[in-house]
Amino acid sequence: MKNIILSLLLAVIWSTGAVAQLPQWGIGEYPADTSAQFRLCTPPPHTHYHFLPYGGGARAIHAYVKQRYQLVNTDQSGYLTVRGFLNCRNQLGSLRLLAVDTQYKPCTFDPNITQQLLTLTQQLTGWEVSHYQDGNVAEGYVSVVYKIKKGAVEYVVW
Amino acid sequence: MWFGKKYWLLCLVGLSSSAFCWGQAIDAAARKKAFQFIKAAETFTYQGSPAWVAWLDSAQKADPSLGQPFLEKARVHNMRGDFSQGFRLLDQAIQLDPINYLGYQAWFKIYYLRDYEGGQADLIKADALTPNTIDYPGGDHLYYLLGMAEAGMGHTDEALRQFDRYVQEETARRGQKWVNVIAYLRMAHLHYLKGDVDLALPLANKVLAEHPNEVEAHYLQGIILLRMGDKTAAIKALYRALELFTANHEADHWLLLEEGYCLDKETVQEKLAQATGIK
Repeated sequence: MKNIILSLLLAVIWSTGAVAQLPQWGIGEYPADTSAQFRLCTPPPHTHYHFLPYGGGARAIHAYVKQRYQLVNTDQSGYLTVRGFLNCRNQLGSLRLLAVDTQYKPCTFDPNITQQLLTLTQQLTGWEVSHYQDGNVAEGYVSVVYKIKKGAVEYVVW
Repeated sequence: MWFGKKYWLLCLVGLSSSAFCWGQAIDAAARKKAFQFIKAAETFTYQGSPAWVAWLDSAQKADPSLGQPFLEKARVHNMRGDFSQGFRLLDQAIQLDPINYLGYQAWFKIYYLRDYEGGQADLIKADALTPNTIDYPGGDHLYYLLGMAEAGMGHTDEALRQFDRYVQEETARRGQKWVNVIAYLRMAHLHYLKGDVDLALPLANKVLAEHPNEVEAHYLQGIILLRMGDKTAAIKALYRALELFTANHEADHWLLLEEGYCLDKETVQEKLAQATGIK
């Protein structure tokens, strides 16, 4: 019974738009990025955001990054996730970075690694957007996970 | 006096059994309730939404010894790329049920994160927990996954040994039709990398005999034949791979190539150009 009430309560919260501040929802679990002027065309809760694939997949992203990434001389290894939204104007924003070491514990990578990968991710243009039946672009979230080995990008995991 | 002792002993055994049965009944009820909450999370809510988390929290509360709610939450965090939270939750699931979840962690590390060392370590630990059983973490045979991990680490000989061990074991226990065709493809590719084309070609041919539309098998057959110097046959095989790509046949066998990505059309075109000499 308690759970039914809780679900109803959450449904009410969701319908009033307060869900954007709640944890665990889509990308909203991370601290909001207030630095950019980025805006979604259809802000929550009016739509359910989908994961947008990249044309050519992880291999294409890796090929793009490999040509431009300058190797950073460090022993640091782990995973760096760059995650954000692609809006209906094809703008990438609300980007968040999440870094873990090889034991999957939170870590901070050398700023030369994070800054380069953030910039290169922002430069990617091959996101495959989908359209609603009325022809409008369906906004969605994008996510790239880089596997870092001693300062180099070993793989683009997805 | 003897009857008295026996009487008390019987009473003690009776009481213990009742308490045990009662305890079991409570566990079964708690577990049933927890599964109902998990089912509700799947049925009524979006995966990862606050309501979904709330249902799983209730499942955890109903049966704190159940690992599944932790696993479900871990999956969501990991698919978001939030690995610190994901692995923290996965660790809690493993603490509660290592037999079921340690293997899953290994599978996830190998396939999704290309963490071959970590995946291998988890597989060895998981295998030690069930010494008389062959495990299928994430649905894949343990030896097969060990082969994948070794191949990922670049240990060609050990990878071949594990894949061979997998084929032998699966064939003996369940029959050849249960052997995952990717094992043969990986073995063909590993022999090719070693320069043992005579061992690689029959494996690619074997796959094609059973699966004539397998894109990777045509590609492998092509590059093996190219190295053997049979250009005509190589062009035919590579052309067929390209044809299948164009007809939307997928090449989705992860980890087939050295770079750890799926085979793509461009790579086939490149090899075809090399074979024909036409750019």
